[in-house]
Amino acid sequence: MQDSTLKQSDTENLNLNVTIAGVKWKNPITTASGTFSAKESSAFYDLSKLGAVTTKGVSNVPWTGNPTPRIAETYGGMLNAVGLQNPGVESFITEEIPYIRQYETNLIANVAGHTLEEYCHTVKRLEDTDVDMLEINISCPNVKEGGIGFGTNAKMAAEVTKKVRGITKKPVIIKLTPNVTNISEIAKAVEAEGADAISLINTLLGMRIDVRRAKTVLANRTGGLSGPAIKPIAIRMVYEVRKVVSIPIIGLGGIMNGEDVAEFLMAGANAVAIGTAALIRPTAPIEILEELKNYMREMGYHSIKEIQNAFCD
Amino acid sequence: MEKYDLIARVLSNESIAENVYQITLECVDAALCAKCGQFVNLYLKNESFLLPRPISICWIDGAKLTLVYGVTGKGTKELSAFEFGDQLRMSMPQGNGYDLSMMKEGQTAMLVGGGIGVPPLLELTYLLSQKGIKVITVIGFQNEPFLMKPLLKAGADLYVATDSGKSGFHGTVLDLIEQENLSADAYFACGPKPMLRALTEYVLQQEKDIQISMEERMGCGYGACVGCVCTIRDKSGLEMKKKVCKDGPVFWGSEVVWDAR
Repeated sequence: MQDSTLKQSDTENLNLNVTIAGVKWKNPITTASGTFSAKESSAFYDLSKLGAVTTKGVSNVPWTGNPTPRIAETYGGMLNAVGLQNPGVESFITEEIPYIRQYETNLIANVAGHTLEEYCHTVKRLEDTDVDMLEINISCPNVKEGGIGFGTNAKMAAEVTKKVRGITKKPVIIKLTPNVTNISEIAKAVEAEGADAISLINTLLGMRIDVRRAKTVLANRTGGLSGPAIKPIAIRMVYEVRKVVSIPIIGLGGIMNGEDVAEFLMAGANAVAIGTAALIRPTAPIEILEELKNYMREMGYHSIKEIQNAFCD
Repeated sequence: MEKYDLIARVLSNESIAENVYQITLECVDAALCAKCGQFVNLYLKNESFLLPRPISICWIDGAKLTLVYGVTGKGTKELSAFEFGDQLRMSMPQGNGYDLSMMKEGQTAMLVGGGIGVPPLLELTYLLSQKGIKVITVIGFQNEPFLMKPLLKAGADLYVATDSGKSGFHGTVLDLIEQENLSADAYFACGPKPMLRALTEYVLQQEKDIQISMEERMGCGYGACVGCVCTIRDKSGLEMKKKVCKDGPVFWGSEVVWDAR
């Protein structure tokens, strides 16, 4: 009884607001693109509870994605090679945006492309919609042309950022790949060309072989590794990038609970995205939010900023 | 709201063939809304196995669900160790089941299953028999048949084939159907993709309807990850990817595009 009274009063003192590239979020939690489907996820929880939702990658025309099998479980993680299957930007505008707009949360549209022109086409089409922010996916390891090709080269990453920045007034988040030698160099390059925020990390390129059939498990042979197995890499990269950029960072990669969120915040993230955890527990994004609040109560933190500032390096 | 955190109590969990187990779970919330042809996601305790195990529903009895699964890896090995009284987290029944509405009393249905695709045919055999429909159930296995007695009890006119010839007819289910000159007004199937494809082509040549339960490696099992898809051609000829977990797992055989990339 005493505990619940204490928690109630503490809740009133918790300030979970964050501002990402000028957009105010009620809390620092969003969904990770590729693991979120508005209709399916909203069957399990109220999307309005999240700071933002980030949709699956949307392209200029419908993409059919890769052949199956597209999923392989690994120890503490999973590989996917979905290949950004999506119904295209026109369907996104007529179906997805109005559906999400029923909820009181920010809408981040993740934009995919094979070429610079494709990115630009989709960004232009979204300009007059009420999408709140754009996340430019230059980091998908499962798209042969474009995708990760733009994200592994600082010049190309900068070029995409510059082009997109030049044609939209919406805040632009660039989603970076961890499949590079020097993440800081790429982060600096996109910041210099006007990126308003950075998401990191996307999945790590991985592979599994079925040794009983002597065949790769995924039809695409390789896929993107996600889940708790990649969290230390994500934390390290957020930490490195925080030192060289001043724009907000949305951290993601294997977040499974509230303390994982705190770890990303301490490493330098301003917000976080929940991905693979939501495939295991559809309500993971809101459960992790509750765990974050419990962590803050337990540790005596009242704001997200306090958690970030508590980190001693 | 859909639920993935139902708690089921294990009533029994036993081996019924080599590397094949039958688990009976008590879970009123899941059993009351379960439909023949649906599946449930089972969530394991070992957190290193991240993804749920989707298992088809074999038998629905009041508050109880019976599932039959193959032990093919470490996850299902862990599942096979659950004992009477243990608790197991599961989802509400997922996906769309078989559509029985077009079947009328006095008609004949043929149910064809292969290996671990046989279990959903038990509930289906029972439901169709209860509607006064003659049910021919043709099941095939690599080596060791299972569920024969329950299928007979549920009302099946049962035919069994094995690849090895150890039991029943030596050959495929399609060979058996042709040899016995079996036919029906409509067909229902579940099993490996090559079997489903061969059977679907055979049935469509005879201008009969067939519903097939597709299997694909799943991520979330509730439609978010788009990991499990198959290609469907709609009536206007338009091809599209459909989610096996959410839009299926049961599809009309006539709409599945087998050679799609």
